[in-house]
Amino acid sequence: MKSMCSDQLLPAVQEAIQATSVQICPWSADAPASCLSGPQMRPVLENLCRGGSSYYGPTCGYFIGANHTYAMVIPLSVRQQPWGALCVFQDQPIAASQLERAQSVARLVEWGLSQAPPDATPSQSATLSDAALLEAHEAFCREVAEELHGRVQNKLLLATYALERCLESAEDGESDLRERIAQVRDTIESVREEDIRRLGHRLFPGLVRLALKPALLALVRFFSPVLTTHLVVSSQVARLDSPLGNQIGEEIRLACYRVVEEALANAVRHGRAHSATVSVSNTPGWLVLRVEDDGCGATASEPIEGIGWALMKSRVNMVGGVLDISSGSKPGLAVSARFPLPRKTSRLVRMRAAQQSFLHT
Amino acid sequence: MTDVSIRVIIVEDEALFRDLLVSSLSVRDEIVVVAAYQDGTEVLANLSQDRPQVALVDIDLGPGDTGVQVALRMRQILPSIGIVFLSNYDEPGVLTAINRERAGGWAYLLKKSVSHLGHIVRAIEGVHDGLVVIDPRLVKALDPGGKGLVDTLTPRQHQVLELMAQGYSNAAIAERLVLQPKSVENLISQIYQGLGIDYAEGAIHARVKATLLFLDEWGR
Repeated sequence: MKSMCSDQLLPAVQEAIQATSVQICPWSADAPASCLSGPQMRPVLENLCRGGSSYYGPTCGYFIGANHTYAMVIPLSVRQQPWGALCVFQDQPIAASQLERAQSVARLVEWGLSQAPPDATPSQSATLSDAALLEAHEAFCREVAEELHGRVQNKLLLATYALERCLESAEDGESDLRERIAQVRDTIESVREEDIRRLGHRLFPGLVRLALKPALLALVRFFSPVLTTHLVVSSQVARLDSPLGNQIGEEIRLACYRVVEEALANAVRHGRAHSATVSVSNTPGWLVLRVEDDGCGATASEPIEGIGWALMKSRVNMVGGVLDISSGSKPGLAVSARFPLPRKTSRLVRMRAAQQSFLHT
Repeated sequence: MTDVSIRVIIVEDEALFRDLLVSSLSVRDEIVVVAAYQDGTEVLANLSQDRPQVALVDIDLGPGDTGVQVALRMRQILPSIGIVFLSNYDEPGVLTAINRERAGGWAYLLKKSVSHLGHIVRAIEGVHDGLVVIDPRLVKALDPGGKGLVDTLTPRQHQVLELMAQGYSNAAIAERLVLQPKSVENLISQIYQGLGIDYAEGAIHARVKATLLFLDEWGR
């Protein structure tokens, strides 16, 4: 099992921020002085780290350190408790884009730390397995997506209703006012329907909670402007994929969805494909997925690798499945994956198959 | 409320939206809201007491069972209950998860259509009669499949099919298209013939089949 420790995390952070010196410092009275970059930084860190749980707000700032001309300090909180700070030191002024990137990294570090057992020491807390990272990441995305799709959407919808009522009650002579209200309403609608929806779906495909087929249908529709995709779900899988008492576990449905998502995105992005076929069937004990496209497949300049596929492989392995990507004699790329079905399911499938065979003899 | 009012329950996890639905529907005599709930557990526990004929169900009920799962459980207890799904998004693909053997009595409405009370009342009345009703905006957004039976219909027949899918009655279609009721009946017969639907199975059944075929062929 691979693990991510602070030694590996730091170069990643450094690369992301492109700064000259990066430190992730657990806050404690005996923190190494070098981490704090001079005595002037200590009270600053102390103030920031104890200032509250929010580290995105106005507490983020730029400070002149002793050994570097500029420093950026972003407090890190874990479980609503101050944990330490992410510090970036360099000799050039810190750009707004760097602050933005550093905030993203700080959020990632904070999330990673939060996955460790509550009683872990700082060095232990930075050690995480791939599976735990993926699982926690998916849970986090799901939580945010549900909030976006539910509460945030509904509140914006109610705001547009209120604006419509304002439009109705505005006098005919107030055409300027009416126009401005209509503009605000349209902007809110566009944010709600386009931006929030797109972000929410990227974070977590809510339909997966219900069943695999509707989730894949929505995915295929999403890609339809750029890729003609044919979805084939066998009748046996459709029976297993019932919204009530679904025989395909939610984690398998999600992994399956993510593989299709990556395969279709790859077909468009790198394969320059025009069409694809997604088929979902089953063999005893396994759910079988195959995605084929008519693109240019893998080439020497664009081989079948990269972080997307590595992540996909981990995701499939995590639920006990196997992923295979091939560029065979036919043009295009073929992505196959097998996912284990619970023993009960495979028995059920065998029983149904036997029943079907009996009925047809 | 009249003797023939349709008994409706509402399942919506967002309190403000739930209140909006209750207050909007309370002005209509043909509908009586008997209860409003925020999650599926409460609904199922009170179903036999509420005796609803139609349920308005938010598809996204937050953590726990989805609105579709809650609706399916309600159907197990009250097989004749009509269901109007409310959703923030145009994803009528969820209807593919529903058993086609009992396809009637479902509607899929966008939440933003709720501000048009006429749409929601038509959906309630439609599912109460056993129809499948699709949000007007979704019907307008369906794309021609190109190779299906629906593509063989004439523009006029297609116009009528669109209104059938939105839950309009024959009389309402005639009024909207400024046609004689007899002409609408003829057009509907031609549609069934074109789509290979056997009218002898009953008017409701044929209408449901036509709407689902339309959704299947043009909803991809």
